[in-house]
Amino acid sequence: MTALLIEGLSHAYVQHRVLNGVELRLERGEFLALIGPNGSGKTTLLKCLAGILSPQEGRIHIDGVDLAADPQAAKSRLGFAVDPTLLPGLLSGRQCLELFAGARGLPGIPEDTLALAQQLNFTPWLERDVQDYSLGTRQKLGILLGLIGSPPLVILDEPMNGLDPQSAFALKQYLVHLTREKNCAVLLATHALEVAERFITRATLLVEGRLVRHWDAQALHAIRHDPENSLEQAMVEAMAASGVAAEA
Amino acid sequence: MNRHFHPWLAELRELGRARLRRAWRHRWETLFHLLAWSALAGVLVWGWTHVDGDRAGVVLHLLLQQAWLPVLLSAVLGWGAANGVGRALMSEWQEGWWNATPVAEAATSRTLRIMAFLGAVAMLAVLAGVLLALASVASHWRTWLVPALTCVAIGVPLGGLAAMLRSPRAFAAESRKPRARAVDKPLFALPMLEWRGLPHLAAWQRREALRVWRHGGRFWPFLGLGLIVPMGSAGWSLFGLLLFGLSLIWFGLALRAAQDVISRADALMRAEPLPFTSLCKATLRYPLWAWLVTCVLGSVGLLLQDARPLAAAFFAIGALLALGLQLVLSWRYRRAPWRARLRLAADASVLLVLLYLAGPLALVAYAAIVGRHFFLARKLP
Repeated sequence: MTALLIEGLSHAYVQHRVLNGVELRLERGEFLALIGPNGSGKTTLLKCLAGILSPQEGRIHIDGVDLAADPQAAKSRLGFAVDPTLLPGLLSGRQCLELFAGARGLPGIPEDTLALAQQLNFTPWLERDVQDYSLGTRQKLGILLGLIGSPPLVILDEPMNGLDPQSAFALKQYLVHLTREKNCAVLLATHALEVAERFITRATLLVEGRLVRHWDAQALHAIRHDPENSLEQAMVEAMAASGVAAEA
Repeated sequence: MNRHFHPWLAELRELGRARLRRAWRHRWETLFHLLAWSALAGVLVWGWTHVDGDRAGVVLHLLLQQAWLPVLLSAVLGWGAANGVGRALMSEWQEGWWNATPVAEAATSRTLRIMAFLGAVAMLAVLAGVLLALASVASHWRTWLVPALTCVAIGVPLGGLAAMLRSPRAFAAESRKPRARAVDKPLFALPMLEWRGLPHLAAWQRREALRVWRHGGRFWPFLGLGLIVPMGSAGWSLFGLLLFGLSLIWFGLALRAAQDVISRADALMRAEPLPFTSLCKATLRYPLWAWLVTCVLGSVGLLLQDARPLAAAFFAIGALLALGLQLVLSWRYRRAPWRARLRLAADASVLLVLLYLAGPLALVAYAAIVGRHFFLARKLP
């Protein structure tokens, strides 16, 4: 089943066009990396998918539900990691999780969320106020909030930023588990190509608001097994072919 | 800006220009706000002209018996204003985006002192304005206006100068003082305020209100309150006035905290499948609680001032109407809270004018305005 279908998506900030007719299909069980240079439109695309921004053109279907026609139903099928700067300093981690569980109609914090919190070494922070958290701890809470309820589509924007290596590894394992065991789709926007390369099943390159290059599982497999090649190199070459200077 | 001053001044200038450009770009909205604020100012001036000025000023009379006391009080206010500006600036320069910028110590010190002194000048202008406004509604102003203005004109700059002499390091040390961590913890739990469908939003609103209240900075209205204490008031009456003023200040602060939390909760949960009605149910209870507390305290305060029970009832109804308008505006403009505040001023002034012209019929206009805001708030995606 298709977890995400994007058709002709365009968005502009006043005069500046950021997304230009983006087309994408993501099936359940797939783990897609969205890569691209700074300012290519990755975050804008993710915000459109999460319903935070309303695109000027195009349609977004999340797990078969049109986001514009029925935003509540579409958002209930989507998990979006929260920007750490938006977290409320006056609430504890557990209160934030209970708040989000309530928003999703869950009776309490799901067991697998608490298990992931344990793997991310977040459990000791659950009862403390967010205002006492470090950047990395806030990032962990933002991710946990996005993953609550294991929705069919999970969208993460640079989730590894600020995470210690142990937590980053635990998170990657969990995302792989989500795709393989729970048949969820994961869309990960990242610059950490060497990290993404080993776990993803597909990759796509966004340049100046257009998806200009795709790598399927087979192409990624070939890159992984070629000691002379890497996704980073492939991306730089694809960007050069698109006439864009590499920044990532 | 040159190397003699902190580059923050250049930032301030550019921000000012950007705001002016924005105001020009949205010129119709700007015009609407200007008209609304002018109308509100008109209503306030009209209200002020109905104050009995000769009954006001018992505090001033008493203070002016001892000339050194008003000078000292003015100096404290001037020092407080200048010191507050200096501390806030040092905090911003040390913790904000200027913290790693190589700015010469002399430039920092110079800018800090100028801004601190401007803070004292602003305080002087406010105090002089309050005194002149009082004089405008009093017939025996000659007995106290000139001495009071003299005391303020001497005391405030003296206090400002004393603050200016502090070194930037002293301001910096003060701005780094750790705050008590428990400052926003409530003394007792109020679980009945929580809506189980979306827990902890009421607790968030309550803690935000407590944080602002306990950090202080909301006590300046007491100054105005002190100046309009009627002559020869009895102790109970004074206590009643204090209670009434306190309840109003608390109510305004609680509503503002509730509004801030609505806005921040919306930003936090923008990607969540959150029905608008759930947000309303979860964010309604704390403001209603604040209204209830305000009604009790404010009504007791009014009754202690020998007001009739009907006045207390009118006070409760007025506060409830204000709460309703504030809440629907908070929901409607949850993504632009500053607009909610401007709109509140505009709608309140229109409704006050209507109340003056049409009496209770203004309630129909109130219902229409509130209903329209609620309808538009529901439509927000």
